[in-house]
Amino acid sequence: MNFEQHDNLLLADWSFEGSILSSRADHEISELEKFIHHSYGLAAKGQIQAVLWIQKSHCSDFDPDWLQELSSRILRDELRWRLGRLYRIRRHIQEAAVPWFYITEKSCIGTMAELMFACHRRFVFDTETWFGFPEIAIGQLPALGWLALQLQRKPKLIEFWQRQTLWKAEEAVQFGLVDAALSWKDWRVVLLPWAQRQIEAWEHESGQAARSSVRSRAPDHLWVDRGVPILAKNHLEAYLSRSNRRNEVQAGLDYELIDSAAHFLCQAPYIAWLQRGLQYVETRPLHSSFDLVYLDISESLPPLSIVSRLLDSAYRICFFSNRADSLRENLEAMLSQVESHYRKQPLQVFEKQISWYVGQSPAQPLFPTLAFGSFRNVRFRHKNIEIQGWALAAQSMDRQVIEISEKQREHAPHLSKFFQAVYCVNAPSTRVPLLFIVKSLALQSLVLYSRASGESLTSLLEQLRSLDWNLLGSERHWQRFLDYRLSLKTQVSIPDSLGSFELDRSVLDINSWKGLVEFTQTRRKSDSRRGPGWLNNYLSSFCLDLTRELVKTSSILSNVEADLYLADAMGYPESWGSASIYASRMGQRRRFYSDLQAELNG
Amino acid sequence: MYAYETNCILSGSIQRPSMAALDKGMQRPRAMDSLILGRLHRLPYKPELLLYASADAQRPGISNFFGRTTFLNSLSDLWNAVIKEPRTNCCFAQIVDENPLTQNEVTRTALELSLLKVKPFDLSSFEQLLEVQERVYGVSEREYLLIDPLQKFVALEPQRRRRSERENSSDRQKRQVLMIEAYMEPLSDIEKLPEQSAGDLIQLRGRDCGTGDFRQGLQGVADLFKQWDQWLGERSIYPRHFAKIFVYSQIKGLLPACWEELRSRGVAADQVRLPQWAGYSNPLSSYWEFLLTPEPNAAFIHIPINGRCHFAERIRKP
Repeated sequence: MNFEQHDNLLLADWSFEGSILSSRADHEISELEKFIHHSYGLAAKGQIQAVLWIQKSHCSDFDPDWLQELSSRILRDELRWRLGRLYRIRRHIQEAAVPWFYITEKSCIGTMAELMFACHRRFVFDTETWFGFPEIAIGQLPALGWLALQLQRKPKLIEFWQRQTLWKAEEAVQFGLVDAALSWKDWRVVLLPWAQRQIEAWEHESGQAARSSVRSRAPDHLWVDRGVPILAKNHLEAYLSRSNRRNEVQAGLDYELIDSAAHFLCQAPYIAWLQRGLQYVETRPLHSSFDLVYLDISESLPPLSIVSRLLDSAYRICFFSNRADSLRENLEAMLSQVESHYRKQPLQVFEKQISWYVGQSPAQPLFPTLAFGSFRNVRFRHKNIEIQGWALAAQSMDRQVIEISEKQREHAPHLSKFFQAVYCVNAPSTRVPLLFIVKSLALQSLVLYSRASGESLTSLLEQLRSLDWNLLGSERHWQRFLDYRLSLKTQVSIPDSLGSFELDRSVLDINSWKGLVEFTQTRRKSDSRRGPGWLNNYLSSFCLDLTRELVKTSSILSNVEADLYLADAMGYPESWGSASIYASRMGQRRRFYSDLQAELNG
Repeated sequence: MYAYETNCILSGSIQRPSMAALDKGMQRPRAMDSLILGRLHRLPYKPELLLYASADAQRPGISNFFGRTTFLNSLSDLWNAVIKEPRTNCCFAQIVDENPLTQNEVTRTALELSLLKVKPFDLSSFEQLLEVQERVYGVSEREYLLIDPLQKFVALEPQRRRRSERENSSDRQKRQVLMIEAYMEPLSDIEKLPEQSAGDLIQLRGRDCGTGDFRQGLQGVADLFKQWDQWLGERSIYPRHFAKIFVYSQIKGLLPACWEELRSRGVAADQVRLPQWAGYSNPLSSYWEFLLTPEPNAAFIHIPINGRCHFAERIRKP
């Protein structure tokens, strides 16, 4: 915390990031105490007329350090001691001889918001900010006494605070929590003359009477440990039931409030809530400046579901490509998709969120940069992080998941804002993804089935489509797979096997779908079992066996993860969940796949 | 009197795409956004301050992404924004439209007329300087993607522009613009050089100097150059050591006199650059051109009409 004195006002800035309840804030709190002491001295001498307090960083209790401290280290007494200090600071601010003006461009949420509301005038210079006490939702009352004092006077108010816990700046103005909110970027340049005008307005409004009134101050009580005497569900209930039986006027510290707040802050519900809140804030930041995401569209387009999800969560998207031609073509295609998705003109609706430029992709970009290749390969870069991955599902699908190497597991959270799931896998070969091996095994097993049952591949695909196996049932999908295989063939020897899954390689030497269909058509049997139900059971048991094999070869660490991975990679019908769910629900014991294989081999 | 001396890291580029003169309102903020976003992507970290200058003073759409945004009107605005707050790193973007004064044949004759008014100077040698300017002056072109009033995308590519120029060179539907993007990171301590720095580390020095009002007469030029000599002499530098000397003045009649003075100091014609000669220029953009020049050392002289001139020099640190 820094401060400087201008002729008739003190200018202080608050740049502490994190929760002021944590022990990391101790230094800042003592700085603030010193500052208040200093301002009292100056005000007594009549040297200042106002204090300007500028919040420079986002303030909220959603701080990983605070959560860590709360769940592992902090003691209730320590917390109580800190709350007491903060309570005194809040009171000093509220009862200061000179007005405190609070200025912010950033959100202020939780305990810090109480200090903000205690100031005499509150100004917000960015309307994309949030204020309030989210902890009220679980019945945790902010402990610095500003709200508690109001509730003592008018207990009905709690309904208002419970109805909505977070306000956007403009709403906060409506309810009188903030004096003015506007988007004003250049306020710093004219801060001093602006502050002079505010001081004049303040003087004019309050007059001399309000300033000269002497406030009676009772000495603070000695510290007595009362514990939390009654059993209550949450903090709010405990506090309100106590305060009903109490004298209305509170001099000194409100020990009831501080004691009970410290008690309930250390309880499991608050910690669990903080944990949830942290996750929420990480995925959907309350910040005014939206995150910027660069999407490289020189090779192919990103899936519409990713783009629309980013737009919905208020990310700014910058499309770029190294050539103006490809940028124009792809941007036109992308925007027409977005247009049909939202049924509106995207350039007008998302005017502030969509932009583009022509240029090279830098080696270490400042912002997250995502590029989709022509075979659904994904390249993510952010500063010095580089992740290569493979998108599992089809481009048009709503659920987008990605597979990355196990070595890059630590970077997986970076991808979570783009993809619904990130699988970390150990592919048996470094050259090809695990997805490729799974796909090629699936194709081989389809060919095997077609040979055994005597049905042609085209009719198999028809059956698959009607069974909702849309990915496996698409001819184009298999053609793309064969294309990719052909593009690999010249470079590396391709592993088409996994553990004991070793199938007919000769099938895979055919490079086009047409050839494959001709290859299977010739073998026709009449006496074998076939039909959609049989096919579905066969594929499900294939998935189950492959799941076991994936875990056995330690490609994927856990059974559950392998099951989900296969469901995404094979496009398992959504209504049935995954292979293991299907098997357990149908009580299926028979292993259709291995039976068939044994039959063929035998 | 305004004097400054600073070390900073600078990177940036100057492009000269040609933009269809169809729709100013829709294209300009987009083009500005595209300039800034392209630059942002390549930076080592996010700038706190966005400086922009544009003839229509329109705020670019991306501006609310930055902590602060400042619109620059003049050179002193720039120094107020950058030098007075050495902790901020800033991103600068500017689009300069064709300057109607010095573009075509009419202005060329007007210049010659104003040259005739200042007879005592050697006009033939000044003509020679102008020829050198035309030959030397050139900046890189770049592709751009904009939208036209019908919401269709228009790709502006360098080779396409040349073809269209070849086809109809007299077509005035296209106007050229100058686009400048720069990133500036002032340094208080040279030893503490950040590891990931995108640009050159330069030392920048400058000061104001007052001469007589040029509306009264052109006598102040000799005085101006005497002061310049003196200022350079303090650090024992001679004008001929500069690889490039940028001279910017709105008063065209002054330029032959300046050239005469420079020539008498042993400066060659290809060392001098008159940014306004090519059009699309204003004091601010010519100053940025001076800052972003690839030469290791350069000087800048700004001679406004009221006689409050400005000298600056930049030296690239090894």
